[in-house]
Amino acid sequence: MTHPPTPPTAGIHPEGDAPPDPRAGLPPLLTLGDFRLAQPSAPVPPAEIPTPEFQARLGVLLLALEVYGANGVAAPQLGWFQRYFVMRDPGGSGAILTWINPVATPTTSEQVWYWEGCLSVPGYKAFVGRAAAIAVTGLDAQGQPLNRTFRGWESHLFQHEFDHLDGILFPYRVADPRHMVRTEELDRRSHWPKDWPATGAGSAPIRAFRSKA
Amino acid sequence: MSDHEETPLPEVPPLVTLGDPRLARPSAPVDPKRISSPEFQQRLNTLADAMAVYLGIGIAAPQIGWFERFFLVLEEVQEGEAPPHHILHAWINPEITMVSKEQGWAWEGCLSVPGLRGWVRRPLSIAVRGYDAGGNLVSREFSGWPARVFQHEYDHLDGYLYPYRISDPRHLMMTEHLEHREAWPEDWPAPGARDTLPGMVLPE
Repeated sequence: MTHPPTPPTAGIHPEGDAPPDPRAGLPPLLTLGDFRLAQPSAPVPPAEIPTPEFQARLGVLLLALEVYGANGVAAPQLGWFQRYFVMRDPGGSGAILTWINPVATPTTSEQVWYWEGCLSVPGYKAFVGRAAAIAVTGLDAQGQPLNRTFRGWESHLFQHEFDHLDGILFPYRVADPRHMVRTEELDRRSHWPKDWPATGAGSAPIRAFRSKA
Repeated sequence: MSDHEETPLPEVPPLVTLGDPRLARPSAPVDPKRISSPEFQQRLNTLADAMAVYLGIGIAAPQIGWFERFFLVLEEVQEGEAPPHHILHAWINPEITMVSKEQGWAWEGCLSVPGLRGWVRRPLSIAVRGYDAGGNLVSREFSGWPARVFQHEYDHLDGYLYPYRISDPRHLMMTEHLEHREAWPEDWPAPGARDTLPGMVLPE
């Protein structure tokens, strides 16, 4: 067991003579255990979308995506409790999609399993199964209707980001607590026995945010 | 890094952490005849060094890669008016011989699960038996926090970590949030959790 907790140190708000931190311009990331991150967020009133305030927030989400090297960032992670997020669209040209007030419907009962991580759960990854294909409707950054179908990797990513709008983080989707591991242990998985911690987990792709120095 | 001259920390094995399959398996009993051997006594010393280096209040052998049934716990002892002091206890091949029906809730952390804390339910009181560092068979009863620490360490010998004991995933959180409880709603993440300080057990 450990001692009672000590305050967080470097990493979240680094200090000192290091080069300027690009994260300095971003709101702090909310993390696992922040009760606000565990609550459902409110729809964006469509009339708000064209306002400079809202467009500025979309700009900050896009900046966060770049700075953190993430594949998706949801507004509640930055402390904005409304239903929108940005995600990379790997099926396309590397474009970034903005989803406002999205609604997703699974189009298959099949599941697809990936290792996933989250900016709000630093240091850990989990093996999570999600619907293998979904149909999505919502609004884009200009408030125009956006309809897409996603499969596999993109479906998995979309559902992860969408979950943030409902106050759900990936540890809440873990089917067995053994499916959540430290990232450092996942990095050593070539030494794992077959079927640890689940069938196929040892060789499943890691759909986590891309590490960026 | 520091400008101060510091006593070098002893060399200790690296921690085995959540996700390492070896930590999720039951460990093997220690042959009691081995306890008095210099080799095993050296292991106890190294485990104690590791607990100090990693700042634990308890540590189990599997956490440093020895898959055998022993662990160390720091016990707080209060005698008379003197301030409490701590005694390090070794438990070798321990058994839990009785658990109370009464359950309790407490915040747990684990050297093998860095950065997280969990709100965990376990029996409030236990009776235990096991060998001490001198190879003597010892029986004890524990209640409250000491019972909690013992059960947490004992779990390591069976391949359990506290996240496996969590009943609701919202009960697992980044440690930093425990520093800001005053901002929590009353029942976050469960009734009584906000006001139960680390090192306390809330009877159910």
